[in-house]
Amino acid sequence: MTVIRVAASTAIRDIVAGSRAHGVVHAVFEHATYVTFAGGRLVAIVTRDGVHQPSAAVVPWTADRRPATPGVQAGAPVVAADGAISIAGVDFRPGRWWEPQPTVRHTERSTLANAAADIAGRLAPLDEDVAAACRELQDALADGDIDGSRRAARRLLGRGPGLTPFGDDVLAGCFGTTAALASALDDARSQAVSATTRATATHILDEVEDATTTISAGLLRDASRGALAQPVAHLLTAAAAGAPVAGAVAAVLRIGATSGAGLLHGCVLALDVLVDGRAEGHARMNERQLA
Amino acid sequence: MTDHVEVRSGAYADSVSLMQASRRVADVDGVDAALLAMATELNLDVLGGMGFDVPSAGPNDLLVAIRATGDALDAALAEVEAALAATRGGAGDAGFGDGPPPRTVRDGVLAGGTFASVSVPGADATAEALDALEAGVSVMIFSDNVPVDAEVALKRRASERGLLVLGPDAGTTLINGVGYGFANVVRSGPVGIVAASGTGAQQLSCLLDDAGIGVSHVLGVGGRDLQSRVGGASSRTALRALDADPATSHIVLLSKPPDADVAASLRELTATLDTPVTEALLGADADDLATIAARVASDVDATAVAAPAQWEGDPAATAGPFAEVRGLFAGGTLCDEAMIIAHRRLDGVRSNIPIDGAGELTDGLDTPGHVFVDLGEDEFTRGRPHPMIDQSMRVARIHAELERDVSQVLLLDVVLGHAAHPDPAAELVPAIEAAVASSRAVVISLCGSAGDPQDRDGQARRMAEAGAWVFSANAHAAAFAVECVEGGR
Amino acid sequence: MESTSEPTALTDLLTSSPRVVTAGVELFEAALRDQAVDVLPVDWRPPMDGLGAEVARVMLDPRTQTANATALERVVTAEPHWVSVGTAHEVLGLETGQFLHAGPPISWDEASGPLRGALIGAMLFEGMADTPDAAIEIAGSGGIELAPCHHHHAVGPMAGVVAPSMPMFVIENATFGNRAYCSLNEGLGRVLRYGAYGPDVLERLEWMRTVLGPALAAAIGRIESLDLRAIITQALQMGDELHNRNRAASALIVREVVPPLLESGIDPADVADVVRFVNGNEHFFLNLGMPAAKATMDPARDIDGSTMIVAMARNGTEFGIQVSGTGDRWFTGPAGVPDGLYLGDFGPDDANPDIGDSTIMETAGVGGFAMACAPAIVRFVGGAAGDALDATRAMYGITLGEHPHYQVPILEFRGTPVGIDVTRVVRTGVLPFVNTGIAGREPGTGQVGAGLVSPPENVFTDAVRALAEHAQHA
Repeated sequence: MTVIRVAASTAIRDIVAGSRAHGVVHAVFEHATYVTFAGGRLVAIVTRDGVHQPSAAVVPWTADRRPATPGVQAGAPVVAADGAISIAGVDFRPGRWWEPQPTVRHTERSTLANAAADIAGRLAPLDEDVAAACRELQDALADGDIDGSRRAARRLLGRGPGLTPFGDDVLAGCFGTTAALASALDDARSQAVSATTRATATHILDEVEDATTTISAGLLRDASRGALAQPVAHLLTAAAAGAPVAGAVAAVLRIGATSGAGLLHGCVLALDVLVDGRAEGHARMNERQLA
Repeated sequence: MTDHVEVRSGAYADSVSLMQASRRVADVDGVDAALLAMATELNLDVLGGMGFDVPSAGPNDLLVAIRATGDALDAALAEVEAALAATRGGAGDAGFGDGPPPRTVRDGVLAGGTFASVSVPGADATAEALDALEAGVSVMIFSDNVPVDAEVALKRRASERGLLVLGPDAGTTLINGVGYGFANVVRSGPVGIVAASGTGAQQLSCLLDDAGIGVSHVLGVGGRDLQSRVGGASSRTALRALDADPATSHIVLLSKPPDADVAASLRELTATLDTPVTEALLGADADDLATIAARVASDVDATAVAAPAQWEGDPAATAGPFAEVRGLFAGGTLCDEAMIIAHRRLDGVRSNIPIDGAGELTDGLDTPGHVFVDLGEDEFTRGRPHPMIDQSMRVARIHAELERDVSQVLLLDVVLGHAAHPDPAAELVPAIEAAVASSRAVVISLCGSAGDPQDRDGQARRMAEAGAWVFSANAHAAAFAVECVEGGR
Repeated sequence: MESTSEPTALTDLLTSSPRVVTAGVELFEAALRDQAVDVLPVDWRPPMDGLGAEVARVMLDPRTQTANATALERVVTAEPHWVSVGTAHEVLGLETGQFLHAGPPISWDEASGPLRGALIGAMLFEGMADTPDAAIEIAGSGGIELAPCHHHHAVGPMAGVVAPSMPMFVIENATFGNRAYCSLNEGLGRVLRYGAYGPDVLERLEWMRTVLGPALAAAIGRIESLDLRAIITQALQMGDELHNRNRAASALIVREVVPPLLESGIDPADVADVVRFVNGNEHFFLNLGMPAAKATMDPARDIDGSTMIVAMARNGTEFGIQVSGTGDRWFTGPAGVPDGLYLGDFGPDDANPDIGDSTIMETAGVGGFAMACAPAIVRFVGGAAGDALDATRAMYGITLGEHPHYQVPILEFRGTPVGIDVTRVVRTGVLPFVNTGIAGREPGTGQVGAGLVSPPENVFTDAVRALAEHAQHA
């Protein structure tokens, strides 16, 4: 048995450290091999230069220096047991853990509001349909209108091309930001927003089976638990700490073709709701749509 | 439309590469036609056929001909350079297996390294570290015995290049979750530590971890960084880097007693930073690390509780008073701290690294009385493994102590984490049992985190079951040992 | 609106996933691997002679980095052109009784068999003596004056003996205007440069003086100059490494000189002889490549603080190097016997210690350093094609840079390793990979084989000690 040490997200600690779980290789790409487990849980075995997805186990090499190993194909069985994930005779064993969440414990509304403005200023405009759905989602989340937020989220779900449709990226950014930062604000409003968002996410996750791709669904599931791709977690850390966000935004924008931008729009949307910056949020949304 | 025709002599490239380059240049916006080719007769004919003036040139000359609207010519010429550079290829050896492994840090960095870790002998470390800096990456130097003038020069080069030299003699560094040298597995969090003390940084990060407070980075700047010769060069860079780091919202500057001027100038710097900085300058009159950890934890989170763990050993064994305390340490800072605590309450403390007011050893390790020895010093490690990675020297020393016909408290530090011994309890337990059986009190300062690969709590339990009293805070272990001597237990 | 003054290198360090180069204790490398870190271990070993402190002093010399950059820049921007042919008397001012030789300075008494043989032949050729014994008598009684080729901007293969009436190639470095010189190649077998001095040898030298030299002078005169950098660049892509294999470059020269020769009005029979001679000698280009390399390296001399080797040369007794930062000083050690293949019945016992200035090729980043271009000749050294790749790849570790024009196709057109850094040789223990011919030990024997030679280690350690003595304080 070959053992490969991986740097694993703490979001997969339960899978790796839990009792025996069976999964299957869902897809194999240059930078990532996606594995699905029961309950729609996703684990991505990614290269060091690949996107550190929220549920990633990162191998210590880049895609161009992959060691010569027998190719793994979609459909191959996977077992998670005894602290490792085993695929085709190779044990991927965590040697280090990283946090897919911001590590800031407390933050202030004003800090997040500033960050939201700063991030929004760095984004290209949304097209009209998406912007409208975003406004609707924002209003519903702010008002605690679960039915409305479900409707709006469903307008976004599965919308757009690609492995992770753009609308899903927006939702993931929104769900993840709220789940990760509500407790750092620790006030009644953020608890309420968090509850509405969670209910919306749960609803969406029940629907995802046929509404979007498996990988996108897995990422949404992670986001609803507050687990985000590492660059997004870094961004939210900076945002919550009141630190400059330019570098972190640039890093997020490098995710996928448009995924990074979608995630960022979702982050801004959620931050606006959390700090009750709905007016600002709408203004920005219009701006982003009209510009 | 402008025609640009240029003859470059002696710039040979093969025709396939040049055809590719021609296409790249022709694809530039505003370029109507482009030809990059060796000036063979055939190619000169082609050039004429394209309507260019045909220059006088031979087959060893490279023709560069571009027809473009005025503005596009510069872009096209830039593309020529890029395309020709591309024909020269890179360092790829695709398809022929790996080349020989790098023999120097320079070649490692050229092969894609982004950081260097140097632990070759001190005399040789300068060259490797300089390689890293000149190739554009920061470096951690674990090696000791690097001459101080080399340290000064390396740090000057680093600051000229916007890079960081960690060390020399940096025992611990932790960057973005990766431990270099000896480092513990602690949670990620907002505290960034600049440390001129390796075991000090390990102790602090572990105590913070126990309090639920995580660490962003530990940057070990080397034991001499805050001395006057080095002037805090790496501390400055490290402080600025942590200040700019979004993941760091509290900084701790940890050092053995610094030069006063250096400390003052660093204070001037920290006053200008956005991130709050807690100074933890160790010394006879300063707070111990447990106190510092508690203060930092509550600064970061008022609700955090710093409650260092302890595991009770054999109560019968600690009923003092004892004639002497024998501190057998692997970590220099831990030894210092214990010595300071003991010196405040006990007379006649001696050490191989004495603090002010303490005495030198008079008979090596057999010096009678209250003795605190840093067994990690050169005099003990030359030709032998460091006590952090191998307990045999200390086990032997415990047995030697047992030969001495005097009542004793044995005080040992056990350091866990990456690169430390995988199971120190396995080596120490028999010696602890023998000591307890010989009526010694055994006190262990266990520097480790709950996440360390050695399973800290398991290690602690096994040593406690053997009769030792185990403390995760070194200061508490030292205080307990002193109380035993005084008969206060 | 935000502070972005922090250098990006440090931001990257603190936020990205590293690839860590480790040198030293394996425990730390293992600890990093256990943490799933991408580790790139250095195959580190202690420097030769324990010269760590000296190496550090040289590397910390504030002049070193710039000096080496300057030296390398001069080497890779050189444009050697063949511009003319003239006798050593004409172009170097050599007078009767004066001879140049390969390698560091040496006296007749210390000279090895092949060098003595070549000097005997040269004295016979110059008419200083009628018989070998008479020549030996003159040389032994101080009747000749010897100087290294390198002291006169010249280079010579094997014994490298230059006599006043020998025709010389004149090479000019178009970038810097400096010139370098080398005699014409006599072909293989029993030849003067291998210490042979029989009547056939002298007859050929005479023909070269009276026919070949003037013919080539006329040819180059008609085309004015020939860009040797371009020829070398092409030849490397045609399977030459330009020390032990010059087949492609020699053919390219034929292609260049035949038209002007035909136009020069020389007796067609002589032209035919000349073309047949050049065409029949696959090492003809070596005597153009060497002065091209010499003209390339000379501008890199005498740069204070530079650790680049500017000459490696052997006189059959000693192997010597010169380093840019230490001026004209030679660092010498005993020349080794090459390891290689032998012609006919010859064997290692017949071999003379290493000899010749041809190591200027390796000094300039070709020859053994471009071995990966010439897998065809790895069998000379009993190797496989992969060894040729390894040889070149190992040389990147001891050189300052890569040649922008001289490329290795099989390494994805990576530039050849160029500019040997003496501190890197001492640090790594990797010696320059030198291809060479092997001369017979007895005067008059000629070539007995070809192969590889290891330079003596002390020349590199002595050079580093000298650089350290003169290093400026950091």
